[in-house]
Amino acid sequence: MLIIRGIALLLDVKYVKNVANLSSVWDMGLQLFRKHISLSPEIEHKTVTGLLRLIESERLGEAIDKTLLSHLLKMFTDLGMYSETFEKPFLECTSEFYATEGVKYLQQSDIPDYLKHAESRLQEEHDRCILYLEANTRKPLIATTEKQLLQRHTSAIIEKGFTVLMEANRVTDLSRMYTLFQRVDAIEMLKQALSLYIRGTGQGIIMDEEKDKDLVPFLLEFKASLDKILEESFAKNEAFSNTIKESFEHLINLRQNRPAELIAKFLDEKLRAGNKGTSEEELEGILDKVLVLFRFIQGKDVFEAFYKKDLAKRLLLGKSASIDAEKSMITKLKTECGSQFTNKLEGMFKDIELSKEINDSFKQSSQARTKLPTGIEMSVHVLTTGYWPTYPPMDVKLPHELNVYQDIFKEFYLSKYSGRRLMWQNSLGHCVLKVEFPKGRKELAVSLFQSVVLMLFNDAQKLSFVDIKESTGIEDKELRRTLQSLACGKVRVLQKTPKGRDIDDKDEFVFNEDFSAPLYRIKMKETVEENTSTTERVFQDRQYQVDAAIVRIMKTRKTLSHTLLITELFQQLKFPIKPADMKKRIESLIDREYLERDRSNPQIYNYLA
Amino acid sequence: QHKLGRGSRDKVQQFMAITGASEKVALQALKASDWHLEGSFDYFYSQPQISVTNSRHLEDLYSRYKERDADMIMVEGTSQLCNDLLVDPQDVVMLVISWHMKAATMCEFTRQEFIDGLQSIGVDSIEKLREKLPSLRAEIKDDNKFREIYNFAFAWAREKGQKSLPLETAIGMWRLLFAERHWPLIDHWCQFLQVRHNKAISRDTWSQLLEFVKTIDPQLSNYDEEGAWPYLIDEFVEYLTENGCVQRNK
Repeated sequence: MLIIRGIALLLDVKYVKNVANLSSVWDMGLQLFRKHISLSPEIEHKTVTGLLRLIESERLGEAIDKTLLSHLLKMFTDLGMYSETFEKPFLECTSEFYATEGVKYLQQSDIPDYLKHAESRLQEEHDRCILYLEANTRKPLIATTEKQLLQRHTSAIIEKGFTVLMEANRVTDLSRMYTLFQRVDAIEMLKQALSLYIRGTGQGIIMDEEKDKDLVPFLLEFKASLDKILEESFAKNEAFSNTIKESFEHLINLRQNRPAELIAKFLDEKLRAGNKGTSEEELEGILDKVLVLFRFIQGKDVFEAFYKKDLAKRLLLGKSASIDAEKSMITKLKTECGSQFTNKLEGMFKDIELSKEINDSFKQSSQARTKLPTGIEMSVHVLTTGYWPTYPPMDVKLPHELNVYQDIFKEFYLSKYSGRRLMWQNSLGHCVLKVEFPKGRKELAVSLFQSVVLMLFNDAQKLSFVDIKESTGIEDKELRRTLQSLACGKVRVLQKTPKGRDIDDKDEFVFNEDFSAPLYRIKMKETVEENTSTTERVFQDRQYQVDAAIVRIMKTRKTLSHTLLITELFQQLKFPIKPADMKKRIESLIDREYLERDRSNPQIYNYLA
Repeated sequence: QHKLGRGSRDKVQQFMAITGASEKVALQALKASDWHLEGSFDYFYSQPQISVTNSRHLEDLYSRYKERDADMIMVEGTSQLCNDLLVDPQDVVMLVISWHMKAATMCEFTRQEFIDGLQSIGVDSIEKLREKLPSLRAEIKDDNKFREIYNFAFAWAREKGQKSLPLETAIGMWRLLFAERHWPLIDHWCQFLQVRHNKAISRDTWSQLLEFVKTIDPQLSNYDEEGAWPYLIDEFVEYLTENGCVQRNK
C-alpha cells in the first residue's frame, strides 16, 4: 500500500486534496481492506480468536510473539475496528478468564498468596496495555480484572484471611490487602472486619476472670500491635484509627469496673519499689501506654478509688519506686481529666512532704527532747481527711510507752496548729520491733496491731485468745487475722495450741523460743482482708453523685420532662450508668420529696424547693 | 379541694348555717342549683338522700363504737361496726366508707372523721348507712371517685410513721381495688412483686400503677420503655415479656 501511495502521491497531493468528497489513496486503501474483511466474517473471526488465544496463552505463562500481536492490533486500530471487533470480545474473554481463575485460585491458595497473585495480575494487565493494547483499554481492562479477582471475593478474602493475617501480624500482606481493597472500594468492609476482630479477640480475655492478671499487659500489647498495623499496613487511615479506638473502648467496657481496677493495680505494680529492671524512661513509656488504656475507660471513678488506695499505701509505707514517676503520673492524669480529678491525689503528696517537716521540727522541739520515753523512735504521717481513702477507725489499747509518745506528739502538733483535730489511724500503723530470740536477735517489721499483740509477751509467757482480746481491745475479726499472721503463717513468732489455721476462742499462744530465720530483718506478712468494699464505696458514691446531679438540674430547671432530665444526666455524669438506675434515684428523690410528678402529666417532674 | 370565689364561699357558709348540713352537701346543692341560694334550698329539701343528719344520733352512734378509754374508734369498734352493717371487714365498701370519713388509718376513726364522714354520706343511723351500702359500693365504678379512693387507700393502708406500704398490704389492697375494676394483668403483677421485688411499695409506684392500668393496654402496645414509668413497672413489663405473658413487638 505504501508503494501504491508512492506512485499515486502526486495524484493525492494535487488532485484529491482539492476535490471534496474524495479520500486519499491511503484512506481508500484502508476502506477497501476493511470492506473485504467485513465481507468475510470468517477471517475477522479467525483473527480475533487468534489474538485472544495468544493473549490467553501469555496469561497462562507462555511466551508469545508480541510483535505480531502488536501489529495486528495496530491494524485494527488503523481500520477503526479496534473497539468493536476486538476490545469487546477481549474484555469479555478477560472477565471469563479471571472469573474462573479467581474462584479456582481462592480455593487452592491461602490469602496472602492470592493477594500477591491478584496484585501481579493487575500489574501484568497494566503492562499489557503499555505493550500492545490501546491506551483506552486500560481502564475497563483493569476494572474487569479487579472486579473478577477482588470485588467478587472481598468477603471471602476477609473471612478466610483477615484474622489469620492480623494474628500473625503480617504487616506487608495486610498492607497489600489494604491497597487492593482500596482499589475496589471495599475499605469499609475491611474496617468492619478490623472492628470485629478487635472485639472478638479481646472479648475472650476481658471476660475470662482467670486471666485478670494478664489483662493489662495483654491489652497493652494488643494495642501496640494494632497501632503498628495501622501505621504500616493501613496508611494511618483516620477512619481505621477511629475504629480501633471505638472497638477498644467497647472492649474495655465490656466488663464494668474490673478493667479500671486492674489498670490501677497494674500501675501500682509498676510504681512500687522493687520493680527493678525498668529504667525511668521505660517506666515513663509504660505509664504513657497505660494512660491510653485509661482513656478508654468509662468508669474513671473506679480507677481513681483504686489508684488512690494503692498510692496511699505506697506513700505511707515509703514503697514508691520514684517520687518523680509518681508525680509524672499525676501530671498525666491531670492533663487527661483536669485538676478536679487529681487535686486529692496531689493533696496526698503534700501531706507526706509536710509530715516530713513536722517530724523534723518535732524532733527538734523541747517537748520531744525532754519528755519522750527513750528506746522508741516514732514518725508520724499527718493526713488530711478527705484527701486520703477513708479508713474505718479501729480501736486498740496501746502499750503505755506508745500512748505517752502519741500524747506528746499531739500536744506538740496542736500547739503548732491550733484548732485542728488529730485522730490516730491505728490500722495504718507500722513498727519495727527488736526481738531477742534465744537463737539470735531479730528485727521484725510488723503492723501496729501485730506489735501490740507481740508486746504483750514481754510480760507474759502464755496468753489465751480471750486474754489478748481483753488487753489489746482489738476488734474480734481483726485480732483473729492478726494472730493468724503471727502464729499460722510462714514465719511463726508465736506458737498456738492446739495447732490449726483457724483461731478459736480457747486457743492459747506462747512466744516461740525456737524461732530462727536466716535474715536479720524479717517482714511479717499481714493477712489483710482484700478490700472488696472499694468498689462498693465507689457505687455508693455514684448514687450520691446522681442524686446531686438530679437536684442540681432540677433546681435550675424547676420543671423538666423525664426524657430531658435523663439526657442532661447523661451529659453531666462521667461514669457509665443505666437508665434504670437513674430512675431509681429519681424515684428515691420523689420519695424524699425533692421532686414530684406533675399532677397533669406524670412524664414531667417538678422541683420542690 | 375546690377553689371557691368569695361570693360562693359566703353562700356555702349561709347554706350551712341555715340547713345545718355539711360543706359537702352545701356544695352539692349549690352546684345543682347553679349557685342560687333559694334554688339550693329547694334542691336540698326535695332530695331525700341529702337529709339533715341529727347530730345527737351521730354522737350516740360514735359512743357505741368508741374505745372505752380513748376518744377514738379502734379495731374493736370497727369490727363491731362491720357486724352491725352485716359486711365483711375486708369488703371494699369499708374502704369507700373510710374514704368518705377521710380516715387517716385503717380500722381507726377519730370522732371528727366518723361524724363528719357520716354527715357527708348523709346518714345518722346504722340502718340508713346499711341502706346506703349499694350506692356506696357503686361509687367505685365512677372513674374519678375510683382514682380518689385508690390514692386515698395508700395513705390509709400504710402503717403509722411509714413512708411506704408493706408489700403484702399493697398486694391485698390492689386485689381489693382491682377486683371491682377488672385489670387483666393483676395476677401477673402480684406474682411479679412476690417473685422479683419483695420490698415495700412507694407512693409514687402506687399512684403510677393506676396510670399504667388506665393508659396502657394489656398487650402493652402503647407502653414506652423510655418513658417516666417507675422502674418497678419497667421491670414488670420486662417480666411479662420474658415470661411470654404478652407478645410485644418492638
